[in-house]
Order: sequence, then C-alpha cells, then structure tokens
Amino acid sequence: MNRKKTLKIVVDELGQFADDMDISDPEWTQILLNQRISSLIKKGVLETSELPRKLRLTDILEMLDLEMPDGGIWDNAERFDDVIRSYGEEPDRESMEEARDCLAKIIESLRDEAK
Amino acid sequence: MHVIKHRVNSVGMSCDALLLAQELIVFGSYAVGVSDSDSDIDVLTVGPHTRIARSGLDLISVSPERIRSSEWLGSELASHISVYGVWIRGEGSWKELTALSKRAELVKARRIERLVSGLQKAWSRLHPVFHCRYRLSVRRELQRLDLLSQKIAVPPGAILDSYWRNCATYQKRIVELSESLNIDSRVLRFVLQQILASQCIS
Repeated sequence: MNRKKTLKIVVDELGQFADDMDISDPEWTQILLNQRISSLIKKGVLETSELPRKLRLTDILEMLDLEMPDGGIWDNAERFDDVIRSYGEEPDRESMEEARDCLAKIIESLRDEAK
Repeated sequence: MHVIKHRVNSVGMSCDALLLAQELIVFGSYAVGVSDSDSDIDVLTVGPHTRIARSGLDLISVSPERIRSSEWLGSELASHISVYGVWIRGEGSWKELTALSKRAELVKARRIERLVSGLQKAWSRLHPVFHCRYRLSVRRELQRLDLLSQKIAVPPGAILDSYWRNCATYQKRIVELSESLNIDSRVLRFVLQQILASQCIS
C-alpha cells in the first residue's frame, strides 16, 4: 500500500475516533481507539503481530513507519498517551479535553502529509 | 529517524523528572520480581507534576502536598505502593498512613460498569486480539474490586493471574461479586461467559 493511501486511511479512522470520543468516559474512549485500530488491522494497515501489549497511540504511529516530520506530531501523540492512560485513577475532564485537542492536531498534521 | 530523536528527548524528560523528585519508588511487576519482557517499569515520583507513559516506562508523580491527602492515602495506587513498592530515594513516611477508602472501591466498581457496558456495544467491531485483552482486563478489574472491598492492597497483574488459575472457589466468588454490580444482566452474562471461556492469561 502506498504512503498516501495509508495516510488517508489513518486520517479517516482517527477522524472517526475524534468524532466519537466522549471526554466524560475514559474507558469508552479507549475502547473506541481500539475499535479504530481493529479497523486498521482489517484494512491491512497494521499487523497484529506488531501490536505491543500496552497499546499507545504513539505505538500505532510508529508502526505505520511513515517517516513523518516532527511538526509536533510526536509531542501530541505522547501527550495524548500520557493523559489518557491512567494508573488506578481516572483522568479528569480537563485532561480528557487536552487529549482531544492533541488528537485534533495529530489528525491535522497527518492530513497535511496526505495531500 | 524522527521517532528515535523523539524517544531520546523523552528519555531526557524522564531523567529530569527523576532527578527533581524527593521520593522515587518502583512499583508493579518489577518491584515484586514478576515482570516479563513486555512489562513496563512503573515509577512513582513525589515531586513536580509529571505524567509519562512510554514503551518501557510508566512514570507518574504526586506532589508533596497531595501525598498526605486523604484522597491519595485512601487510593488503590497508594495502598499498592505502600505494600509492594521499592523505595529508590526517600523514606516514604506516608506509607504507614495509607488505608483503602470506600471511594477507591466505588471508583473501581464504576470503572468496571463503564468498561463492561462499552465492551458490550463495541465487541463485534473489535479485533479478536482485543477480545483477548479485554477478557483479561475485565477479569483482573473484578479481582481488584474484590480485594479493595476487603481493604487489601492489590498486587501486580501476574499475581492476580496466579490466584485465578489456582482456585475454582475463588473464581466462583469473583463471578458472584460481578453480579452485585450495576450492570444490565444480559451484558453481565455475556461478559462472564467471555471471561470464563477465556484462555487469555496475560
């Protein structure tokens, strides 16, 4: 699959995730992300053998191996992961809003790359 | 190349957080000696606010003010660390003050209810690799709730797995506990069938 086609599929899936994301429900948000990853597997963009046990958005972007420029995309992906993964305690609403903003910036960067 | 560059920067950020911390504690599977090749090193720092979740390292921070608050001292994580944590720096004078609160139990119950209800809605759209992960996740969360309700600190996941494997009456108790949650009975039946039929251990 060529780079542009892969990027377009990823942008579509993450866009769908951003639309469905519910900042009041971290568990549902994680399930929705995994649903989009499932779709990327089904479309042949990701391999199940590559999936680490604790899956992060950063891992997904790395696995795509798209050689994306810095452009803040990694900062935003890592910030998203830092906020959304909680150890025992739930991320608050403010943190979830921050995660949503990071996601929007990631999608924007990927969309620019896909042009 | 960009990825590598960023990972290096992340490590630098993690080092800053570790250097500035008053206390530094390793907890989870590494602290107890049950880690495997996929395990992250879980670290708690008492100091400036940091939250870093990277492959290989999960670092969280609690401020010196919050470490003695009743909310922290009653939490699942505080009680876990007080029992299983290994202090690399600092003395952890607060650890004797931890006492699991009713809130910790309620937070866990609410999390399970939301998780199970979400899974019921999305199950058919999730790849089988996630089915396996969520069976494990829900079962471990039920085990954690069971321990929290008895005011017992929760051990790392690998130890929960060995409890589950080794005792049929324990499994029955976990199933009964799940029936006390506020989950639609059809959804609950579905999830319990998934867990009990599961061969997913880790």
